[in-house]
Amino acid sequence: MDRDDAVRSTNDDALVCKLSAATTGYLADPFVSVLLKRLPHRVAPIMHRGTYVRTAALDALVARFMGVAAAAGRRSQVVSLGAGSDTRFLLLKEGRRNPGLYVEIDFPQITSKKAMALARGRTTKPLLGDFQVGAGGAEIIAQDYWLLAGDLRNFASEILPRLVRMGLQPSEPTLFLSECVMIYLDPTVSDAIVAAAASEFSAPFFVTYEQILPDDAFGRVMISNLKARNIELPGIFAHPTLHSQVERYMSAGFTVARAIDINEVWDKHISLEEKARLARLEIFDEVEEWVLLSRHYCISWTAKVSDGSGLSQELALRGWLSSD
Amino acid sequence: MSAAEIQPLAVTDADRAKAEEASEPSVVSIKNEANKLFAAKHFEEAIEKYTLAISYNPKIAAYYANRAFAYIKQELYAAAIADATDAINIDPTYVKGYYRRAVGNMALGKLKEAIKDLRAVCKASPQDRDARTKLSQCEKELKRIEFEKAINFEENKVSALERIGNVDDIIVEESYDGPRLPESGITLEFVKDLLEYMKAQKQLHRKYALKIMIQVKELLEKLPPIVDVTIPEDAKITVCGDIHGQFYDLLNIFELNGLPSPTNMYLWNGDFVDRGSFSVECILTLFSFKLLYPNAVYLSRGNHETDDMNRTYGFEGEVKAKYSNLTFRLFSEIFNALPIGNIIQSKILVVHGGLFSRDDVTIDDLRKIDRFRQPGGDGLMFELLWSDPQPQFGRAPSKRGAGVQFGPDVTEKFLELNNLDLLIRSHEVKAGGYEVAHGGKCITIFSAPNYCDSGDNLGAYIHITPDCKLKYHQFAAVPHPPVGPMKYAMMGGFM
Repeated sequence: MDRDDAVRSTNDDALVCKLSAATTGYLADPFVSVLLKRLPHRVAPIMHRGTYVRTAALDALVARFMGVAAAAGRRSQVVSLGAGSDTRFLLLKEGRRNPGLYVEIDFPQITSKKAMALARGRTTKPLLGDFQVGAGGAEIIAQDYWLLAGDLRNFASEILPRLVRMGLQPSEPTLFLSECVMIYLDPTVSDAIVAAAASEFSAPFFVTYEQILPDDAFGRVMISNLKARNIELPGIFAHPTLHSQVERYMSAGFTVARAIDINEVWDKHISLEEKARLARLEIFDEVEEWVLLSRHYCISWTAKVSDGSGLSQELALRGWLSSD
Repeated sequence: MSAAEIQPLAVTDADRAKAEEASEPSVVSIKNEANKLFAAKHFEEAIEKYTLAISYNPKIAAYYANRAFAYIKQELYAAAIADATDAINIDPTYVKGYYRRAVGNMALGKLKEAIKDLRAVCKASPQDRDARTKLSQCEKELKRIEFEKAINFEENKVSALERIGNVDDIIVEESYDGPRLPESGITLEFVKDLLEYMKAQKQLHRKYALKIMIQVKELLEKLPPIVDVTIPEDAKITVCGDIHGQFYDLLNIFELNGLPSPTNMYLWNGDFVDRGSFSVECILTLFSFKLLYPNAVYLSRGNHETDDMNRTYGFEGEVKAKYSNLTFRLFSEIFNALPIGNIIQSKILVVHGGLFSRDDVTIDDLRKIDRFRQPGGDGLMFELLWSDPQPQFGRAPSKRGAGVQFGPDVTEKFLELNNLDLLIRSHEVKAGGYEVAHGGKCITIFSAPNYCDSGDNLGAYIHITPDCKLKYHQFAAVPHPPVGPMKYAMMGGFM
């Protein structure tokens, strides 16, 4: 299995976790089962919780972004890099809370499977509205949703120009989402993506979820386990800490950035009611492992806000994860 | 001078300032600080401040209720419930106390208790919509659970054995190239062949697996809950802790320490299965040796030899994948038959978890326990399998929300009361594989190195000779076949 195949296989892991989390009751997601019919194995409670937290946090950030754009009377655009089998668009569309445009980009091997499933799915097809299937079945182009095939290594040179030609508006608030994606790229490539987002767009936002802290015992074991699957995390050495996650955006031209780890998200941004609800779903006997594992994942979010954009009140980016 | 002529001195500002310095800090200000810390989400520090406030004035229900809220934020639900109860006892009209206790109970799945308190809250504050929502949530959930229980009840009344039928009738295919259990009974040669076979990731034929299981079940059922172990003159016993399905590390223990034999005795202190991907191999190994040397090999139940844990942490799934659902039900019955503790040389108590929430527990009490069941949520058997030692004196609510935390004084009192010298237990990972605590009176032994492929810890075992002298041996993890994404979810983490 070559490197790219190995990276693509990470989507399968995430999909299994998502389906299992949904089936067990952590997440309400009727669309995952369209993309994966059967669970190949059990998923441990710790993975359920982590999948829940990451989904909840990213959902909150995306929702907040759309709220900010709407409050300023602007059209919101989301570009999900390496979206894989993510169902976020479907959930937003079903709830009629979707942005003006939602773009998903991934390898053709992944988008073709997804395009076919979405185009045929009884519950998903209606959500697409009028759409065309393109690139030999590897892409879907609808009014408010584009599922496109591409290689993120060519983001700045090919993908971004194509998106703009197709109608992505660089002058409108645009959120770039990297949910455990850029970490698999060479840092020069991911830096180029972040830089392109910052420079080509008037009101860019970026949200990233990925691993950090490669240098402690846990980090080393995690990295060596992945290596055994031929998966490398080149990004983790370039941005190994919460601080460096913030730095990567600030040095690319964003004006404000925040990063926190998943452990903190769980502790401080998941409501008591939700925790009680989850505690009733299944036994959780992995407290120490959870703290260890969740400290090695972070969520970072950033914005470039220029004067006159009408978005300046969100400068501090505080309170984006909960109403504190 | 007459009394009427003495005038009080005017109290100056300087006097007032001096008085403030000299007086004790106002309890209310401590409580306010605690509230501020709580609002800033510094829950541990808030708890400390509330505790301080309580120490000055232990009669204010709100302090306990607030601390309960902070405990809830820390997921220390048992502690929260205790505090909420204190609040209620101080002021039975303080509605928040019932509410906090209900939330704590909900988190622990104790729905009946939560419902009771939520009803009280709804009655006292009929406008509280949140309480009403929670109440109906709990009631719905409880109905669902009772319904499921009712459906399962009939199923569980029949032993898996009856439904498996006559194992002798099972025909073994020609193509099976693994070890076959001799008619006359288990032999050392069979067990050695079995270890080699399983090491190569091949599976013992279900006919022989079932035969071994049935024989072990019969053997274990005859044992009392607490088994006395005597070490013969020329022998020693090796006490191992959790192994959690780490079969290749178990094989390594045999490499380092020799196979079990009448003079090389072994005691495995629970948690043989779950988490690791080779739980079936581990348990068949232990059962085989138990059959081979019933008086030299001892097995004691851990909290993972239970249905709830097996369902969630992998063993049930592994057995279903490798054998069948019925096979798992049979394992469940065998686990119910496992003894729950051992006493070595009448002096050393070995149990999986630890000690109890009250002081006057005797070994006789433990010998009277009916262990043929799931441990439930409380009681001596449950605490035996779930408790943890703590450095502080006294007891504390378990951070796990299960069992209790017990201090050095508890250990000392228990050992003295029961004329014992030492408590050996497992249940917690230790970086060096073992830990000596409570002034040497409470030992933790853990035998799963590099726990879950990410613990980076050593494993250890203890040699005990007839004179009750202990020697610790540590060992590192050995490689094992790369497990598919199937069993070890944590191997690569989130992707």
